[in-house]
Amino acid sequence: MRRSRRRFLRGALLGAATSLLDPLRRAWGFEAARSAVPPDLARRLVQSLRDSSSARAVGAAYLRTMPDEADVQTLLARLLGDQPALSGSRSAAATRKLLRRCIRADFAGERVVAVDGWLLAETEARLCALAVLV
Amino acid sequence: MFVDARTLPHETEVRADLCIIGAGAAGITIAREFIGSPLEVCVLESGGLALDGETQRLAGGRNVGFPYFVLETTRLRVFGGSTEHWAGLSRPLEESDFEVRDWVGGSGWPFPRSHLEPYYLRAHPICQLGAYDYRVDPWETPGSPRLPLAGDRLRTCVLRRSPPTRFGRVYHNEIERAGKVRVYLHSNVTQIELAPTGRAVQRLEVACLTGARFRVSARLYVLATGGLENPRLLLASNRVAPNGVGNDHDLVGRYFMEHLSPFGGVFMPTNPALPLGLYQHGRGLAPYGFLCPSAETQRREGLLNFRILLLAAPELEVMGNSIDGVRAAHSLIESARRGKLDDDFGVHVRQVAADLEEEALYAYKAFFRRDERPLAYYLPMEIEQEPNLSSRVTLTNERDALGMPRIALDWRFGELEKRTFRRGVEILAAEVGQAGLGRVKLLPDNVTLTGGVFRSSTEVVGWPQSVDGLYHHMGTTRMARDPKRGVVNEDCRVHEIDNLFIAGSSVFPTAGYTNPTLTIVALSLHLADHLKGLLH
Repeated sequence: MRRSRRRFLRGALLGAATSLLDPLRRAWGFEAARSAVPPDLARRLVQSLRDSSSARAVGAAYLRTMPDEADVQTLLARLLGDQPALSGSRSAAATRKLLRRCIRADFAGERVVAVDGWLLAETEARLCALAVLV
Repeated sequence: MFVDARTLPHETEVRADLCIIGAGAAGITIAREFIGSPLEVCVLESGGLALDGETQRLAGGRNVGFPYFVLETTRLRVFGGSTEHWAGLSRPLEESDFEVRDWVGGSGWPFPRSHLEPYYLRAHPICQLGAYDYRVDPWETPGSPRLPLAGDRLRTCVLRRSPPTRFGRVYHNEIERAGKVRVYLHSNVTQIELAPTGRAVQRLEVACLTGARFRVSARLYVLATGGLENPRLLLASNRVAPNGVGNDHDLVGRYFMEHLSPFGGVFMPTNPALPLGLYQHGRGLAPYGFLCPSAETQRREGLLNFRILLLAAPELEVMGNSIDGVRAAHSLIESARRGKLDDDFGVHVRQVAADLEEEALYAYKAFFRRDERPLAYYLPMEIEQEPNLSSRVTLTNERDALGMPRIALDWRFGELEKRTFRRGVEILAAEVGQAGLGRVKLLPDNVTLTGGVFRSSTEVVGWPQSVDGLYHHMGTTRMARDPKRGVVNEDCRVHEIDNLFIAGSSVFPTAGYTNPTLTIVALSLHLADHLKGLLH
């Protein structure tokens, strides 16, 4: 009855069929998002966090464990792959609302990363990583 | 009535209708059921009315498995038994604990919880627990509600609290006045002597540390000396049955279970003002809450049952800090109270989480310096152990002062317990994260980096250094309808012996996560009713 790491990451609440399709969907979303990132988006997303020093501290720890994500375009693409509407949000409040939705969905689907022992949503960890890079 | 057995003439023969070996929660509960009856009841207690070192040393033994407490300290040989050191936390086993679960080997009781329900009801006043009510609602207030978790994987339940009842003191006078219930103090059974057929107990041989010896014969016998001593006495009584009494199928002493008690980590609320009063003890005898998985979660995830407490720093101080895990958690929480958490990393985590929440704690750091509320909560867990044939009590060649063989405890558990521990923390982290309530940190000694990088705690291996038991000894004479699967039947009678019964947690086939005393008392009442039917 061992649960695999993959299953943990992809979400216990998704059905088997969804789990099989999920990597494809995410890969497609990643590529589509990467090619359509608004130029000021990274800054707008980071500004939704009020305390950038905390975000940078968490982000730096995340990037130490995930060095392959130390790239603005990669991070943005992964963030937008999960929530394309982020690219069109106009206010910090609206952005926060969308991010909050992503974070909660991450936890619901157990898309969780351990950063310095803290179990964080992938979205918040990547958002913090973005704060390090912009 | 109490009798100091040291004053009995040598080789006295005591006769009774019922003989109960051991005066702890089980033995005293059964004995009390016979007060006022015309039946002669004899209770044999190793200790006196107060603890003494020489008697206590009879309980010594060796640990040969997973590191465990010094055995001599884990149970008490005194009138009242181990109720002299229990904490009083009480709750019935869950319905799912009684069921056969195909992912838990050896699971399933011979009856559902509903069968024990009337006995739980009767056990409640005996344990001074007030009304039999385990609903959460009556204990919630607007200022201390249950955690509003987003999913249904974890639920809030409550533990009731006994004063705790010290059975030997609370029921002393009642027993003293009972003319036909005689408690023989300082009486150590050294042999259960079977009739030549091997199908019935003929008499007991009893010894005092002073050298006095006597015998007891009765129509029925109840063995109620706890999860380590019950198998010890059965195995040592091998004059007629070479493998020991009730041990035709080599089950006596096997399936030893404890409640595993590791420290799961730390919960840090996004908002330090999150009301968690319902989950704190230290409010007199008021019940307090904890989180446990639904039966559906256990089934879907293939997990054992468990509970997670949320305890603030003051509770840790109450619990003591003598072991590494507590010290680690304590240090972490104390850092949080001082405004530092892991060199401020936890503060950063909380700030990020709070930034994105509705309540938007703009000046978080200033806020939490003003607030006296604990900023982090320690997460002790209690985890059910899967019945394990190899986890067992055996006899050694070492002898105690009465010439009885001492025991070796080979405590073992496996991957399912480990996975339940890990998944329990992960599920909690997911639930509180999804609800926007906070974040969870694994304690450092739970974390092992795999190549310096890991994506989730599913890569965490091993146990924290702090895993322990809770002095709950269970399963060593387990109950099953089939003699090949258990030592006693559903009436707690030893399968192979017509007049020998066993009371206490050694008969539990599975143990859930909850403290065993209430179930011990309920099962003892059940057994007492059965014995009355046989004796009248």
